[in-house]
Amino acid sequence: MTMPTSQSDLMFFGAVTASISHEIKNRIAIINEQAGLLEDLVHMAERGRPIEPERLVRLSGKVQEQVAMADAIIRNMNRFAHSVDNFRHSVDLHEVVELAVALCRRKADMQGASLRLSEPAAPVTISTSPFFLIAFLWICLENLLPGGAGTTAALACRSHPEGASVSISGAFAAERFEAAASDGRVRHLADLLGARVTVDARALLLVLDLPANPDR
Amino acid sequence: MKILLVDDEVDFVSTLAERLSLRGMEVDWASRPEDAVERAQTSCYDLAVLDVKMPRLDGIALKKVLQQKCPDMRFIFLTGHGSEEAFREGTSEAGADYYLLKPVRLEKLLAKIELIRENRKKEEM
Repeated sequence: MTMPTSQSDLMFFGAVTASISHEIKNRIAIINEQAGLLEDLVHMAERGRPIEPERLVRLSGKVQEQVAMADAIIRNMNRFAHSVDNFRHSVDLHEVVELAVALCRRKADMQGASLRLSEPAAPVTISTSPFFLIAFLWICLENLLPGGAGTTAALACRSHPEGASVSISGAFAAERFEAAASDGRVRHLADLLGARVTVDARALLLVLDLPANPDR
Repeated sequence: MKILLVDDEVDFVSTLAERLSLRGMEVDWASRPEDAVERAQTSCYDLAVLDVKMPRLDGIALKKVLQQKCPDMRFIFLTGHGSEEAFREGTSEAGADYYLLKPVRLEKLLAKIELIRENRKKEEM
């Protein structure tokens, strides 16, 4: 089945790629400083100021930490890139939402908010489009997070007889939940997913219900 | 010259601060914009080196706050985005003295710091 795409889908892809590149740049900038400091310490040792071996071990450990972080970012980038390989297929819903949370974490950090994904009681498998689902969550959070400093967006997924659902809740302003639900891009993505979006502004909850068979 | 470094990446800002200190500079650092503002309350800095993209208060907004407390403070912006030219055009209204891309080439930063130091000397004469 051909994957339908619109300009907003492409803009989402660009926004995620830009965010990832910024994250990688940050890791590289830190590694650059740490390597520079190692060099500075060696030069000082050459001029007679001794280096403590423990200091070198700590510094090299920090470089390795940054390398591991950059590696994790690139792994997520790769998973995201492959999310467009097939329009729709059977996925572990928790894994897809986990990837979305990882990609959105920087967006949350910039707003001073945090994201939390709870582990489902049992694996949740559904036939869906991982790319459009990630886009849906990205745009929902884009609507919810502003002004939410100190707030946590709690995400969860679960199975139900008609399919599966992904929920987002948190102490964000009720209007933000309404805005997310009425965002044209959110509605467009829900259509592509064959899904239904419901918002309970009083409970500060948004739910995306994914059907077991989206082609019906 | 008293320098304040502000970047939300603690490992970046603390390491850069140490490298500048090893070169004999008087340097403080902060990883939260609020902490930078608090430091500026205690004593004015000659120069602030600010990351542009920071949570809650970006570098451009932080510059305005710091400048109110220390009108003679000079500023260098750092970013990981795009080219220096595009960065300069995009932030020209912010009115920093210099704009540098990350990863920072230390010799470039040192050269800009030296230029600012010389300009301040001329202004004081």
